[in-house]
Amino acid sequence: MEFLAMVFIWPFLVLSLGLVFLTLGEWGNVGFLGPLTYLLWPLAIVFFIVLLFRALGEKPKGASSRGSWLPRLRSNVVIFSIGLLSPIFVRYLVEAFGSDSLPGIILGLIIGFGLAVSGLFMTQHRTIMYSNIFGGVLALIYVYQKLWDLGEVAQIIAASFGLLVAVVVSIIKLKDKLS
Amino acid sequence: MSKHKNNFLKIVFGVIIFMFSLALAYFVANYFGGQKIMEYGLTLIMIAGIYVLVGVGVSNVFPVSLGFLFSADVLILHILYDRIGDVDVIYKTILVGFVLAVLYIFAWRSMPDDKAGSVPPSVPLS
Repeated sequence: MEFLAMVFIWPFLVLSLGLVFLTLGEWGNVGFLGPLTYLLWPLAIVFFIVLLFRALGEKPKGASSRGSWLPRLRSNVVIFSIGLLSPIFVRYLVEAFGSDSLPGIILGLIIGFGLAVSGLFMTQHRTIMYSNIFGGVLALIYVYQKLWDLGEVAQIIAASFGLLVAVVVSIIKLKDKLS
Repeated sequence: MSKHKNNFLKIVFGVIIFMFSLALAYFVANYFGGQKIMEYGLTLIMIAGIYVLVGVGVSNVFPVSLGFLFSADVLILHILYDRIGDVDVIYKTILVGFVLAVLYIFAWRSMPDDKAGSVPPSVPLS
């Protein structure tokens, strides 16, 4: 099973990267975030060129470290894919409920905060930790942008929800240092 | 030296299979589309499905399997690029959700942390 996973993962990673760029291309006309998506293309290209040069410039420290850049590259591709597919997933979910539907946006808010907070509290599986933080923050930016268009009540709900999560996370994270 | 040669041969054959399978798919789709036998996109979808099945079926022969699977990638992405605007949002949600789920499963099962970066046990094990 593990062997099969290793064979199929590169084609799947290429597919998921392609899906990221396809869906981002479709995002070009959504709100004030739309034009920013065009910046992601050069940023992504620079990101992968930097990764490639770092991998090529790495000096092998011994037989065991040979080829160790490949798992790191795989991990970075997974972080990149999950990090960008999470807000895209939240966007489609919100749109599936109806473009300006409050329940859909609240669900997006819960998913965004859930991802970001779970990423903050994870101690193992660093790939998932970084993916969740990156994806959660981007999903929250999208959801808050949608909330901004829905009026004052929605803004109050969003601000209070964000404040509540921030206070709870701060208390849990800083409990040892404050007490 | 022999190992490098083998790897080089694997890559060469993988690339050849990738290129010919892709060419075959587009030629067949063009022919079927031109003769009104089947729609261009539908032909590509069917061929991509066949390539995935073949790639999975011969997974123990790396170059053949990866050649077909990467071809299927290109075909699927081509179809999605052409039609992503027409697809209903619920199907797009399911597609992205499925890809995310597979990525999470892979990251959870096959990407353990670095040994050097992990936290040492605070209690002696012995």
